[in-house]
Amino acid sequence: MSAAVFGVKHERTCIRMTSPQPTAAVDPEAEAIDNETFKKCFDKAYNTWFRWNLIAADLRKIVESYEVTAEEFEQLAGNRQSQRYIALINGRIRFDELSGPPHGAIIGRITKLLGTQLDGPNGVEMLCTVNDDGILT
Amino acid sequence: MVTDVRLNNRSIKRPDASYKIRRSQIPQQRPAWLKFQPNGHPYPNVVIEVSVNHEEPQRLLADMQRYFTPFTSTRVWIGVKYWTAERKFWVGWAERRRHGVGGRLHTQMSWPPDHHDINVATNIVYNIPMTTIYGPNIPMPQGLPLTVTLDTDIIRLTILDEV
Repeated sequence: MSAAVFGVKHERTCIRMTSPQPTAAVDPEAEAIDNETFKKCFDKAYNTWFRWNLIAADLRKIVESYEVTAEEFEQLAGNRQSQRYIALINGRIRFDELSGPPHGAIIGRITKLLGTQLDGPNGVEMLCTVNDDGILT
Repeated sequence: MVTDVRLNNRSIKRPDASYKIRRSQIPQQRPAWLKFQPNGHPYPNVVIEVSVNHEEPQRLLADMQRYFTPFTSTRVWIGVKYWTAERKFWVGWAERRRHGVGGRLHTQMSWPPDHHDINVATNIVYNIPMTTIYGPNIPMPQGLPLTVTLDTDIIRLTILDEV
């Protein structure tokens, strides 16, 4: 999903800083950083989080200090392998701790349990499952 | 397939799994309570969140509340949390509050330090009313049971099988 889905192409060049806290990687006097710098910070944070399930404190502070829109979030986080663990909460990006086993097994079991009960006796499917296939289109 | 859920203009969260009403099954006269995402799909009626990590249980519950904002039409949330080190777990479900905003949690299991040992049978079965799941003015298939049964022991045994 991209901003184009909503019929609006976002060309904003700066992301508003809503936290007064300075960060290590950007000018602490600056109230805004450009999208490209923010994207690089996000990418770096994502990569370390994805590989090692942790993010350096200063990097996390940068990513969480800026307010982004829903469309900007979708552009940043969409199509990532572990996108399901990244949320936008009240305009701030939140990296959750990656879940380990038996995460998938529990999900599989519950969806199977519910699926068999929600379908009608003749296989009529009113409610359909939306499993996370990791792909946003 | 889009699985993100736009909770409001400033929040997006992807549930681990969800159930939504098939678009072809939505009555022509759409029920007022049913809300749609920007991509045209209805919000899921049921969302499932499973947490296997060291995060505070409060985060799971705070996220649960977010699914029941005025912008969404999610009706039921099912949550499971498993603490790997302690080998303990928790299961609960929530429904949208009667006045329309926020979730009302149903659980017979406790949070730490009294969370449930996976080696001990729970004998706890949740029965979620089918009408709560489907919502008003959505035709349900004939012959459905009155409730969806969620046996927490089945979840416990699934965890035991895997760890």
